[in-house]
Amino acid sequence: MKKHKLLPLTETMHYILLALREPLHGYAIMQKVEGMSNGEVRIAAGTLYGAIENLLKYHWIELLPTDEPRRKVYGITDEGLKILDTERARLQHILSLHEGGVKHEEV
Amino acid sequence: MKKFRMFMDIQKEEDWLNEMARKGWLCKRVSSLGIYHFEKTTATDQVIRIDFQTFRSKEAKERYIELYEDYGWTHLGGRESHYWLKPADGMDELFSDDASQKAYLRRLLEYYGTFCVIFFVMTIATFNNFSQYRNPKDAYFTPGLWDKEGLNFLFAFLFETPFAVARFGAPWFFLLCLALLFIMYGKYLTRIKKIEKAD
Repeated sequence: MKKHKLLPLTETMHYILLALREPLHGYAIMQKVEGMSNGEVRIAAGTLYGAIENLLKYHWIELLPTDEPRRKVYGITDEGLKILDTERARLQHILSLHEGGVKHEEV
Repeated sequence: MKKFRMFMDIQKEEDWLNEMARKGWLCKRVSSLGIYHFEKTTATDQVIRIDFQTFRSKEAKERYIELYEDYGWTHLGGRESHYWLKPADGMDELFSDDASQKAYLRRLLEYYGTFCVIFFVMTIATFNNFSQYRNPKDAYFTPGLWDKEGLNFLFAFLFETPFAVARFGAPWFFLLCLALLFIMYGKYLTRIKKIEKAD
């Protein structure tokens, strides 16, 4: 299978998808990601806009209906959740290599 | 204060606007013809960033403006190049990772590439009537012009001159534009490569 253009996820994309498991508007995504990453990842406006447009294009996130028309609210889709699962498996494998690293070298 | 300037390099344009801001001249509006409207200010700790975006839809543009405004940026105008102003507060860049910085340069690259093709075609299309380069008189198309005399000649000559100049100069003009665009294309490409190398 050909790998998707956006995979493996960049740190920014990864955080955004994780944050959007709960519906959020644009600027709130940045704030949540900042909190989730203990202040390490502060997504700039242009980066967040580009990421949102990209994620919308591939239907990994979607616009959710709201009462406030001015505030666009986004949420992750089933497809987006699947992507997160794929990424989790990839990272878990890498993590297992980290932990079993010494044993591998001995063999 | 109004100033007219033309920039090929978006980075140089941004540097210039920020330099003006440091001197107390804040750009408040950019009109589409390349006229910058400045106002004197004492608040010199403001940053201007130029983004480059084209939009798939009207909604996408709305989302774009809204999001940047939520971040505290003020839109100064622009169609493809968007001018943004914000008080400096440590989060003064538009892009926070390599992928988006690269995507930004790639959008510029695509834009310049398109214009390179257009100007290439224009150059080829206007490079004809070759005899005019051996004999500039051939750039004048008025029938029997060179047999006219006196005022009759003068009027006909002056009337045709702008057309002759255009005929004579157009291919060179397009070629010059093409060369400049091509140089800029190369510059943006170099910047992309630089980011890729740093990875």
